[in-house]
Amino acid sequence: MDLDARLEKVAVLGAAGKMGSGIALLLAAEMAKQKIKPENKDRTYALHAIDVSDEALCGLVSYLRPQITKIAEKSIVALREAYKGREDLVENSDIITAFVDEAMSVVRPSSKLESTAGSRLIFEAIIENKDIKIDVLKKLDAICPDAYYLTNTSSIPITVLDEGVGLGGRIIGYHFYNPPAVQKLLELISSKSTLPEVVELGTELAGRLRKKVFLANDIAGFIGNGHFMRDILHATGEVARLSGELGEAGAVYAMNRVSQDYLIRPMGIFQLIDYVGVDVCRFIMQVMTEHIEGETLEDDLLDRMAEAGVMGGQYANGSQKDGILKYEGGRPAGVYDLEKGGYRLFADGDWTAKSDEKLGAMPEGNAAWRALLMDPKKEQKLATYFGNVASSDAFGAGLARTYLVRAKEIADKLVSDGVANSPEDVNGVMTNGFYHLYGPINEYAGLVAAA
Amino acid sequence: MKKLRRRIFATAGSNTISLGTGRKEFHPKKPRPGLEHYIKEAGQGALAQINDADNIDEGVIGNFMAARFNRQGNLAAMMPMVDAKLEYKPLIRVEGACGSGGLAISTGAKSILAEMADTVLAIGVEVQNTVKAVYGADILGGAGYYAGQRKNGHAYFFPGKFSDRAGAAYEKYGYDKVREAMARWYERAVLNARECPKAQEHHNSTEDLFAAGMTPPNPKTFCEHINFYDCSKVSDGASAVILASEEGLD
Repeated sequence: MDLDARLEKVAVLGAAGKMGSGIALLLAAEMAKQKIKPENKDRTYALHAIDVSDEALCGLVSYLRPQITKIAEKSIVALREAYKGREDLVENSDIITAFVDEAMSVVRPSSKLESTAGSRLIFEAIIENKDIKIDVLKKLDAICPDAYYLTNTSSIPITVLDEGVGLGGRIIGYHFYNPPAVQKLLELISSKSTLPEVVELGTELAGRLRKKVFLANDIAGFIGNGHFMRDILHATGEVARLSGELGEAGAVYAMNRVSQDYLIRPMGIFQLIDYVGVDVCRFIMQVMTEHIEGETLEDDLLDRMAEAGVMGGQYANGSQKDGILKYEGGRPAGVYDLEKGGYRLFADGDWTAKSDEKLGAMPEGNAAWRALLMDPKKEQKLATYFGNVASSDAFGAGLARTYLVRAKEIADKLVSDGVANSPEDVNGVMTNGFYHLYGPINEYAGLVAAA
Repeated sequence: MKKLRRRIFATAGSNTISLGTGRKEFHPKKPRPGLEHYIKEAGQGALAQINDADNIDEGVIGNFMAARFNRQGNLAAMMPMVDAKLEYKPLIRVEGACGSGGLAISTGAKSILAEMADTVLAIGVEVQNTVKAVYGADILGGAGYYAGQRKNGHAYFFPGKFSDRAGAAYEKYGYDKVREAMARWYERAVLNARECPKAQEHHNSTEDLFAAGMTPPNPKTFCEHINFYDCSKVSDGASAVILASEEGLD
């Protein structure tokens, strides 16, 4: 059965969640594109959007319509061509409305697992818990015996799921990045037993969804979280070291600045933890600890934050919840102070000034991430800047040097441990999935290490 | 008629900014000034340069498709918003696609030549950022032969027309030469805009404009032979001028 045939009956589990809703969106749009082809007029398309809560499923439908409209607007050139035989559709707005209606007619929201019966492609994006995933997939496999499974797990080895359910290789890791509709990166993870036809189909589908595929091997955390989780541990380790002098909140503030401003990343490490969710990060660390021999990934700061109910994550509309940092207008405005049991705002008092003073002068040539993003002279400017980081006496520059070197060590180990096949794959995931301007395996790390 | 039978003077010109993407004040998701704001700003800017609005005999306003972009017809009735003294004076709205503002001027000139007026306030106004470009293309397509050509026209109807012409130029003069010429054209347009604080591209700080202008056309997302830089942007703004006979000038 080829991809076109499998795309007639699809299911997304966890469809109302952050990742599941984005995956459902991409699939609804792709299935509608198939549906409007004249040669497919006799085929019936169904996208079973499954989630536990009816209320959340209502939210999914409200989310999908405007998002599919955006996709249709961007695809208008191709859609006009596809609809050229429809004399009644003249304006772009007619065509967009027709396409959105087609896509919405494909979506079948349901809170009942049984409604997926006969599905040929099943995307799993439920809670990152091995036992729950295995349990749900087992139930599904009884009613969808020929289905291929594409799991969005960001940490659990595919082999564990495959063997736990007894899928005989009909499963592949299909790790979208958040938000799936926007992020170009797709981490494709095949286990030793994944069937070649599943890999082939997954690759073909990724191409249709216009995703940039990077292959990762089946080791817990894969490339993206394999790097991110250890990056977190480095940052929180530095926070512990600096807390005596700056206080814990002051140290969090400082390390968030170092990871964002000094390393010129789109967001600081603590903002990124909040974006993903404190609990999700802890869960991923647990999974990695469970499945990677000889390494324990635990974080005392995250544990204490979670215990205090500081979770981060996002609201249904995609806006950021308060987490380790407090947000105003989507921007960090404070740090949660565990001692105080509340947020310390940047604007209150001089505690941030103390951290800023400790960090010292920013090395020459520093620029904001956004300013360099599209700059054709980005590489040259980064090389000059990191040369200045290497030679700076400022404390903040020292922290940036250590961070840069550690990030490279983590990335090198991902390659030497066989998680990634090449340094290019690690750099590809970090630049495409995390929007870093440069991969962790770079010449700058060597430059600052020498310093 | 080989020459005008009366001399006509144009004076007291007034322009608003051209608001749209590229201007620092522009944010697609935030509320923006509407027709009323621009008509008033441009009109009052012109009237402020004469001693009394009562000296205006007539008003003409040029606009294309406000009924679709802004759900507003009968724009002439909005002219007294400029100054209450325009109320009960002959006011008219004219439309001629991109030439609507020019038609406002020529209509005013006709009134003066016909000795129906000695002074005419002519305004041109457009507020088109009310819809995304993909929908604006449909509305602007109304300047072409809608019933006969829209269905088979390009998604971006007029860029599609210009793309066809660019394609013909590539065939005749070679792709490289024409593309370089159009990139220089874009570069020159932005350099000019940087000299004019009210221009839409005034805040454009792109270092290498020529390189941007050389971006290869992408037919999947836009047109076959032109890129976004080859096209003028969608703008909101207005201009006003007072037309006068010699008596009116006095």
